Amino acid sequence: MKDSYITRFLDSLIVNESDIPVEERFKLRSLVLLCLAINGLAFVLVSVQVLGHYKDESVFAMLSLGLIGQLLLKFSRNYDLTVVLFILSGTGIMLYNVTTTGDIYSYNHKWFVPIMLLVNATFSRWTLPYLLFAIAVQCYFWMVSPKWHAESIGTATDHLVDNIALLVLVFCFLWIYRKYADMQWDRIKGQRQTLESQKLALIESNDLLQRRTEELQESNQELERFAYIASHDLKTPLNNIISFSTLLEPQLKKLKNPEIDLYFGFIRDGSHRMNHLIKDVLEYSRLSAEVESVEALDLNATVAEINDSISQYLHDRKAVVEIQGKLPTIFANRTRIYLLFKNLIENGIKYNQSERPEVVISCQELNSQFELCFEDNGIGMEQEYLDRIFTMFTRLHTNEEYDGTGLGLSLSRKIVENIGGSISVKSEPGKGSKFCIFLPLTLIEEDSEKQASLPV
Amino acid sequence: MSKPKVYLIDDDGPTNVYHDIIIRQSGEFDSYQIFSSATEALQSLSSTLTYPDLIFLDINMPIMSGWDFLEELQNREKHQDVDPAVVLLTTSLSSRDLDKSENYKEIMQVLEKPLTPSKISLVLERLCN
Repeated sequence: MKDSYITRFLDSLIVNESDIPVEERFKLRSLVLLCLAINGLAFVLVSVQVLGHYKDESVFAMLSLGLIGQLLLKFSRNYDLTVVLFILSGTGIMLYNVTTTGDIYSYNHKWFVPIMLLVNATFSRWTLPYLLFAIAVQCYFWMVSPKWHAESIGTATDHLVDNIALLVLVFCFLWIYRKYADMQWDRIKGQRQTLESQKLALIESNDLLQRRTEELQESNQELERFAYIASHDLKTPLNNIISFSTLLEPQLKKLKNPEIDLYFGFIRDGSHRMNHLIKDVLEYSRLSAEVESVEALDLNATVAEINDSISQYLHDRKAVVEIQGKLPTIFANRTRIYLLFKNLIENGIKYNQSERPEVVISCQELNSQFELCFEDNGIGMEQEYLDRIFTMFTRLHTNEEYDGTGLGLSLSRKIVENIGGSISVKSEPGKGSKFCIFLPLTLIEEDSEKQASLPV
Repeated sequence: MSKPKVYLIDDDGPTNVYHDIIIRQSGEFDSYQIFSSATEALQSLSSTLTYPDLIFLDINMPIMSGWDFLEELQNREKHQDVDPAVVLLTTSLSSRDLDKSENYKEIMQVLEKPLTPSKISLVLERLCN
């Protein structure tokens, strides 16, 4: 249905009417109509001199009505109509003045206009035009108009020039405002569209990321399951090789054939090394595959337990493991922490050529975490290798130099990361290494925190 | 106490041969029987007169796993007052298996393969207690 002239006229008073939904438009048209009626009424009443004696009061009432209308519109969140309302009531005031006294600056409302404009400037989206207009009106009242007024006081031209100048100002503003508003609106619309399309793209890429993450997790789990099954099944035949070579060894020794002994040694050592490797791979895959049970662990006891289990090794190497101060009690999985500590302690002693290998374990509270350090007096490492040592199967030495599978530290890192921590290393060749584990403070049992003499 | 009677259930032939040697060398057992499947062992249990005191049981076996065997053992009619103690044998000790073993009161111990003389004496010690 084609809109009538009246609705089109009303719509044209609403800035950017095309962006307002049809059902809203009706409401806005009504408001515009109401505004016109208020101003029209004021105009008529003033014209017939009914309010002639109360000009200031009537102007004030009109402005108040305009303000109430504006506040209502603020709540409806349509700032554009606020402007329309203001202009309508403003035009009403001008016309009212022109038709009654033709003397605009002699009344108190010459303050109202700029103040209203400033109020609007503060609340509106169209701050700049409002401010400019407020300044312009103020300039007119204070500078231009009084001067002209003084020059041509009491003449008809005086009023005519005053009011025409003001009206020109109003219409200039209307025109500029319309242009500015359209421009702003287009810009905002453009921004909104860009945002909308960016949002869509973001949602899409987010979905993709989630899908990929799930796929990755799945394939990761599959890989770990595979590693677990493969290494588990590899162990049975390997166990047989180890078992039977253990049985065979004394019998072969009896033959006193150096060649047989040498070859047999290769078989025995090879199978033992493979056994270690499979054990570590199994351990690594289990870290992800199995749900860990958590309990309160006294780390001092854990260290003592490890010392006990490797006491022969420590004795042979004349090595010592020392705890500096007291270690806290933490909530974690017993087997994992045992493995982690054992790895770090054994590493400190294994890669060590000091006469008296030493591993010192200490604990320190930092801001939101605590730090467990394992410091040794071992061979240390070059700076360039430090990033690599936590990677799976990375070894810095041959099996002849130091026995190992290249999994110990990657295992350790995984254990630490699984409980929300991180591990780092400082090292210097010939001076030793210092492995530090950073764990969240929440892992510490509260009582032990008080008991433990943590140096801060 | 007389020497215990033992069943050994494992699907892997060479492992059985090795365990046979280790058990024989230990000389700690009165009689022992080796089964290469859990079903065979179950059949024997329902027909035998020489009921075992101890069962070394492999977990990973085709057709009937160690866990299945334990379920069957729980469900069948009791032939004697005391159930045989079960020692689970596994190629690699996992916390999952350990947790699961808590649910079976028959399981006395979970050990990593292969059996060694020291492991056997450990088992016997627990059995006597």
